[in-house]
Formats: sequence, structure tokens, C-alpha cells
Amino acid sequence: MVFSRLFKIFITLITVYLCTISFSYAQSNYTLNGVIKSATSGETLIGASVKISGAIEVATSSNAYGFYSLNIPAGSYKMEVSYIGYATFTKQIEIKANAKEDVNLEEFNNLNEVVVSSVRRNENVIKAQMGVEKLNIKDIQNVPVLFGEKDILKTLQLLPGIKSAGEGNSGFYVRGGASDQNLILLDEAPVYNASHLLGFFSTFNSDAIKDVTVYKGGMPAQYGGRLSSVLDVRMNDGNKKETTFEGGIGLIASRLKIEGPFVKDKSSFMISGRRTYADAFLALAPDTSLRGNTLYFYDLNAKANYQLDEKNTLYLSGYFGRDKLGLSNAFGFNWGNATGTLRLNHLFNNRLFSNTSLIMSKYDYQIENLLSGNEFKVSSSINDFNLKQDFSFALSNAHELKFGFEGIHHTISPGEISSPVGSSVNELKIEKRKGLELAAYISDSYNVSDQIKLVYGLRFSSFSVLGGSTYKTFDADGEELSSAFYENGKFVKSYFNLEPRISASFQLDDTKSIKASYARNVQNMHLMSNSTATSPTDLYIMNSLNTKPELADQFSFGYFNNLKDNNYEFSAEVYYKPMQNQIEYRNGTDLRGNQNVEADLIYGKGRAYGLELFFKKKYGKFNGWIGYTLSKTERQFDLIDDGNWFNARQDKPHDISIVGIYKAGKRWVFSSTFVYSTGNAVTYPIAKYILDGQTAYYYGPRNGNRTPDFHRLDFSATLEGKPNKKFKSSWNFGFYNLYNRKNPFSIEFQDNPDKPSQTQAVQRSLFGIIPSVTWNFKF
Amino acid sequence: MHASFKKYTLYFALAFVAMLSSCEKVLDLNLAQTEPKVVIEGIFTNLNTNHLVSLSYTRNFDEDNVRTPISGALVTVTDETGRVISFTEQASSGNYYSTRFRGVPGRTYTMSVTTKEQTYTATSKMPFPVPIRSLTQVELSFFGETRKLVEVNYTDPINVENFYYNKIYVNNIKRGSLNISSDRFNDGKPVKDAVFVSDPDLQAGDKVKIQLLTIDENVYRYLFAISQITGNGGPPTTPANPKSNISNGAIGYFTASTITTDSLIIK
Repeated sequence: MVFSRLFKIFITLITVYLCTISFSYAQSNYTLNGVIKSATSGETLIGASVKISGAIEVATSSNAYGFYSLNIPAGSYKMEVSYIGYATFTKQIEIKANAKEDVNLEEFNNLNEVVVSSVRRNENVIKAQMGVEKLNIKDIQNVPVLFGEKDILKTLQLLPGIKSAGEGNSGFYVRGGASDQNLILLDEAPVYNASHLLGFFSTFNSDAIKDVTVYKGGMPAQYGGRLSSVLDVRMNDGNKKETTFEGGIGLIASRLKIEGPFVKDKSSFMISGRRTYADAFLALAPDTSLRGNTLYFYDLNAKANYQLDEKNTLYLSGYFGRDKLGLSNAFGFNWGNATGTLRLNHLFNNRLFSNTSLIMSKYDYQIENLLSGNEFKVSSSINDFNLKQDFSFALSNAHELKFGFEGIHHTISPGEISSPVGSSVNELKIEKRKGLELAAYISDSYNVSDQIKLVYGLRFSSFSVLGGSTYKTFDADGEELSSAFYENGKFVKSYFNLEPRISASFQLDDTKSIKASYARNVQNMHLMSNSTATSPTDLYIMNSLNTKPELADQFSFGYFNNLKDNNYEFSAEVYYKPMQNQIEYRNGTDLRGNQNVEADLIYGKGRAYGLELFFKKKYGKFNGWIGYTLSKTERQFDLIDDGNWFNARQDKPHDISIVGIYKAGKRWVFSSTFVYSTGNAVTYPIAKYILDGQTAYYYGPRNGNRTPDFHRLDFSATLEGKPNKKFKSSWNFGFYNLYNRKNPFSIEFQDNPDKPSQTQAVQRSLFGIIPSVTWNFKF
Repeated sequence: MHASFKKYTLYFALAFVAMLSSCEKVLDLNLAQTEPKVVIEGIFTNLNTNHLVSLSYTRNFDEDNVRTPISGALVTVTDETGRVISFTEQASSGNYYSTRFRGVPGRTYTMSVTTKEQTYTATSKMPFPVPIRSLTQVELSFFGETRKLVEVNYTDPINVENFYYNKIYVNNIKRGSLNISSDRFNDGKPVKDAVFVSDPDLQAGDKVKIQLLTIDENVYRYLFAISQITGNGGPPTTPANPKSNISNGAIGYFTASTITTDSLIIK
């Protein structure tokens, strides 16, 4: 088969490449490696800076498992390790042979003025990687959010290039990409629906999260599968030193986390849960018809790890969350994600680090109608099984290689209707779809010189449409051309893609650099929605005989400058991103139980470009940032508006976020955010007529209008409890939408109820000013 | 199933609104305008009556909700056998009525409308009638509010695709939004289709008349697309102008339909 042959060639190339460079570099150097951890909890630290200076100067950062490795000649060096929120570790070391140096960093007290380390504070300037943002979980705690529920997804949307899909919408848009074009990974498992309660909360409970990294461009080659961004979220491993409890009680949700060692310093666990209880109040309602209603979500994160020996560590992590919406005796609706990840970290030798992951991810929903005579139940699910092998190899002090492969098996069950005897609804089963994604990658981060740094790589990916169901082809009008059943296990069609990725930085001086990157991304799973809001029932489809992989090429260029001894960060990035094989529904498609969805799909292209400005004050009593994005996102489909380019749903030309955090004295932290963006691109009527006695509308060009602008100011204050060794607590008070702006959620056209001879446009808003109080504790 | 799904989307929307401090505001939008477009609505049925084709132009959004009639057009409906039924306009109203005529289920009818500028044609095959078995009054509770609704009971004929259009008249005034459904989920089953009425709710003593029309697939698709834009209570879809079964870019539809009628007094 073509695929296996190509795959073999690819693997051979990697091997040859590895061998040749390894010979040329691996001579007189010794390896220094180890794991960076927090001294208080024993948690490994991701992305901590490690710098060695002496005869030569080399720097690296710890990987997703806290592991680092450096190649240096014999000699005496000063070693410095730093991580935000921790005191810098310094040590004099003598390298005469390969050495192992594990480092435990001491945490700063939350409210002590941040003591600034001198190490690598200009990392943002010198690294080749661009279009990347890392969120510090401690920062998130202070940013005000809706109902006081700290939320990484909402906080990310305050960064330039990352836009909110709007209130009441779970998605976010990165550099002109649609909300399904973000690869959202929780401990490497893809999360298909990252929202609770129709988008008011994300599925990420901040208590359980250790690290969040988002790539807007120049994605490293180990990531693939979505066009626009990668959001890599890692859960806490669990405290290896002592058992601690942490939680919060809020107006609509409460949280509790327990973590601690199984065996001290060797293995630990973490369990974190959260539940909303808006509906708990319903049970107290005097009206009995209210009591049977449900409206809540819960989620549970759990993780355990065990250090088998010096070279092997095993991790098991899982997430389970569900939303429930129900009306007594009438209707039930629930949806949720479940993910599980089993990982083995193995150190082959002091330079070759390996991670093997076995991952499952599931998203499903059920709708139940209980009204007598019409009872039915609809269920739909996506199931993924994923095997992933990643290696990182410290080749020399100039080269660090990453390579690996992965395979994901997808099963999508688009919908199944079951009904009891006596119901008017027939049973219906829409055929399952199966697909297999295979990918292999290699990338090299290469320090060409002190000024020039390079990360370049190649990802080779394939998607195979698998048999087990009927596949049809359709012409441009949606008329069926052919239909054939393919046996289970048969390869119906395979798509192959090469995805080159490259980022380069050129350092002008210690505080200034310019960077450029190019990345091709391929997307094989597509979320279909014909609505102006997202719904948990939106349908995922895979490539097929008609639907081809979506492709995006992103070119970006940036200027980075740190000011005032690295206290201020400034960056400007521009990007241009053409996209191919974009998908939309045909007008008037009925999505409910549609067995031939593909007949109703049309294909076109997209383009996005923009400028992002970011100015951040990183340290001090007062810190925060200002982000501004100027951008354009358009689509072109032959069958929409006569093939003219139209504004994409996610097009919001101007977007501003301002975040300010002020530490007042020992116990108070005040913070405030302001956001502004151009209104959504929508379609308004340009004429009206009467059809069957009712007013109907004739619409103008697709997304040719704008809703009123969106802006909002939020405020929060945190009061830390009196310092106490054992028990820590804090109060958080917040106001969402402080000046009570009525932002548009939807705009509807209707007859004026007071004057039926006239029509009017009615704007509906979701949130006025919303106060919140949360009490957090830890012991 | 359609009706049930409608309920689901309604709940969805109500829950949405109920959990939040929703608020509404009338906007003054300066909407763009367009050249008037031709709107044709033709309903040809199996009842022995004067069938109606009405012609009008679209109007600007900020104008009154009245029709701008198109007068002086030539309107005919022709059946498969070549028999031509002619329509005459009633006093420059843009409403054209046929001579009394009973359409025959299973036959295909072609409407032709010739205005001063253009000729528009459309064909529609009259489906077989599906009688209303009964109407029942039901009550639906939601967050403490009880609404009275009327359910239409009929048995869907098995192994044929059927498309329905329910019209509800309350005290002889047409009410409710586009209530259309198909038998995609209940082919051959006894169906209970709850008909929603826009505000005000049904009151005791109201006389409710239901007309159950069968329509062909093209008309169903057209009306479905229009009803979907308004969201039917669920999240609204990106609006677009649906494809009509009438030629030359006219808005509207021509349907050859069967009609059965029943009525009840709300208790």
C-alpha cells in the first residue's frame, strides 16, 4: 500500500538523519540532565529555564514532564534554574562526566513582592518559537471572570489574536480560525466540547491545571490535526510531599481538590471536582412544577503517578464532565466529555527521553423526550483511541531533536433514535463512521549562533476513511452520484499530507529580536454548525469521498522588544493565512437526523490576516497587559452570494483587551479587565414581504452587517486570609460587566407588538452587571 | 418528531433565557434597501373552491406591513392533461382567484404568472390527503407557567414521504408561525403534532380551527428554510434566501395541496 511505503521511507529518513548528526556532534561532550520540581509539592515544572554559563553558555527549558538535558564540554559552570513564581536556584557545578542534577525550586509566597530573577528574563525575545502564549495559573486567579469561576479559556481570550466567540458561546477564534479549528488537548487527549452550560464555563477546572500553552502560529511538528491553534493543557500531578485539601465555595459552583503522596517523593495523586448548584434552589421552589427541573454540570479531574525507578515514571490521568438539562416528565438533555491518558516516561539514556501515551477520548450527548405518545431518545457519540510515541533527544548543545509518531482511531456515531412501543417516533440509526489518522514527525531546535535560532520540522500525516458503512458521492447540486457499502476494515480512501513547520529568530541585541515562521496545518475532523451560536448537538464529520482535509498555510512575522531591564515586554506580529477546503452547509439544510449530511455540504476557501500588538508589564506591584488585534477573515464559496468573498462568522476587525492587576499591601489584590471588539458579522434583511399572512424577510449579502460593538469592564478584589502556616483562605469579590453594558447576543426581526403594522429589530442581551463572591481555602 | 424537536429547541431557548437576566432592547438599524422583488404565493387545493394566487412586491423594512400588490398580471394553472384554469384579479388587490375547481391528488399542476416584465412558472404535485383524526387539548408546564396547546392527531401513511403544513386559526384569525413537518421520523405512525401559538396564549373559550395541508417536498424545503431562520425557538441559523420552486428569481412558492380541517373549543 502506498501509505505504508511512504511511512517506511519517512522513518528511514529520520533514522539516517539521526545517525549522521549524532556522529558529527556526539564526541567530547558530556550530558547534564535532570528533573525540575517544586520544593513544596514535588510537582514537576514545565518550561523552567535552565542556564549553564562558563566556558560556553547554553540554555534550555524543561519539557512537559519537567525533564531537561544539555550537552556541554568538561569544565566548571554556574548553573541557574528559574521559573516564574519561584526563587532562582544557583549552583556551581563541575562537569567531568555525564551528570544528573535534579532541582527543587522554592516557591515565593503568593503576595510577597515578586523577586525578580536575573536569568533568562528575555526568553520571549531569544526563543525561535513565535505565536506562543503561556498562561501562568497564578495570574489567572486574579483575573476577574463571570460568576467568579476562574477560567483558563476566558483568560486566554484576553490575549491578542485570540478572540471570544461572544457571550453565550463556548468557542474562541484564533487568528481568523473557526472554533473547531483549535486543537484542545487535556493531558494529550483531545477535548471535543470544551464548554459547560452552553459556553458560560469551560471544561477546565483551574484547580486541576498545572500548565497552559497556546500556539497561534508556527506550531511545533509534534502537534497536528487542527488548522488554527493548539491549546495544550496539562493537569497537576499531585503533591508528592504531603496531603493537602483545596477548594472554593461560590455563588453557583463549588470545588474541592485533594492531592497527596501515595509514597512520599515517589508517587502521588490528585482528585479535583466541581459542581454547579443553580438547580439546587429549584428544589426549594414553592411551585412543584419547578422542583423536577435540572440544570447543572459537574466535572472531575483525577491523576496519579508512580515513579517505577530512576528511569521510568507512569502517569494515569482522566477527566469526566457532564452537563444536564431537564424538565420533569418532559424532556432531558445531557452531554459531556470523558478522557483518559496512560503515559510512560522512559529515559533511555541521559540524552534520549521518551514518552509513550495511550489515550482515549469520548464526547457524547443524549436527548430524551418523555412526552407521552412522542417518546424518543437520541444519542450521538465520538470515540477516539490514540497511541502516541514521542522522543526528545539532546543531540548537542546546538541541536535538540523531537520526533515521534501517533495513530488515532475515530468512531463517530452521528445519531441514533430509539423509541418505546407506542411512540409515534420510529427508530433510526445513522451509520457509524470510522477513520484512522496516522502521523510521524521530526523537528530540530537548532541554535545556529548566538543570534540565530531555528526550530524546523516536518510532519507527515495521513487520514484513511475506513469501511463498515455506506459511502456516497454527490455532485455540486447535492444529487447522489454513487453509493457503495465498504466492508469493515477496508480502506475506502486515504489522504496524505506533508506539513512543514519552521520558526526562526534573529536577535538584534539582548532585548530585541525579529522572528518569522511558516506552518502548514491539516484538519481531518470538521465541526458542522449552521447556527449563529454553538450547540452541544453540533455535528462532527470526518473526511470522506466528498470532504477533503482542510489545509492552512500560515506565514507570520514578528518584532519583539523588552524594555526597562526586561520589566516590559512589547511584541508586534503580523500573519497571513490562506485556507483551503473550508466547509459550510447549503442554505436551508435540515440537520436533524440527517442521513445524507454530505449532500448538504458545500466547499470553498478562506483567508485571514492581521496585526497583533502586545504590551505587558510583567513584574512589580502593578502588572498587566494591553493587547490589540487588527484583522480580517473572509470566506469564498461558489454557491454563496454568487462566489463573492464574505466576512466569516469569526471576523471581528478590532479587538482590544486591557488587564490590570494591583497588589495593595500584604493581603489585597485588585484586578480589572476591559474588552472591546467590533460587533459580529451578521446578515440583516434588506426587504420584507408577507407570506401566508406573516411578515417574512429578504436578506442581503452573507454577514454583510455588524451588530453593535461589544465592550465590557470587569472588576475583582481578592482578600487573602491572615497568614497561617496550616490553613490558607481567601475571599474573592467580583463584578462582571461593571457598567451594565447591554451587549448584543442576538438580533431578531419581528412585528412591533404595540404597532403590528410596523417591524422592528430587537436586540437580546444575556448579562447585565453580575456580582460574585467566592471563598477559597487550602490546608 | 418534528414537533418534539421544536419543543426541545424551545426548552433549550427558554432555559437559556430563564437562567439569565435576559433583556431586550429595540435597535434603530439603518438597513440597506433593494429594488422591489416579486413575491408570489399560490395555493391550489383539492377543495372545490376559488383558489388564490397573490402577487406583490417586497417592501423596505421601515415601511408598513402591507402588500404592494402587482396588478394586471396573467395568471393560469394548467393540469397534466393540458386543462387550463384561469385566474382573475379582484379589484387591483394583487389577489387572483380561479373559477371554482377541485384539484385532484396525484396530479401535477403548473402555475404561470406573466407580469408586464417577466413570466414566472412553478410546478407542484398534489400529494394524497391525510385526514385529521382528532384534535386534543394538552397542557405544558414550564418553569411554573402552564400553556394550553392543541395537538393534531393523524396517522401518517406508511412507505410514502409526506410533508405537512399546519395552519391554526384562533377565533377565525390566523395565528402561529410556520408549523411544518415531515414524516422522516414517524413514517406510518399515529402522530401527535403540538401546534404552537405565538402570544397571547390560548384561553378557555377560544375557538381553534386547524387546517392540515399536505405539501410536496420542494415547498416543504422552502418553508423549512424560512422557519429555520427564525430559529423556531432554538439558536437561529445564518439567514439566507431559500430557493423557491418558482422560476426567474421570484420569492414565494406555489403549492398543490390537500386540506383537511377540524376545530375545537378550548376548555
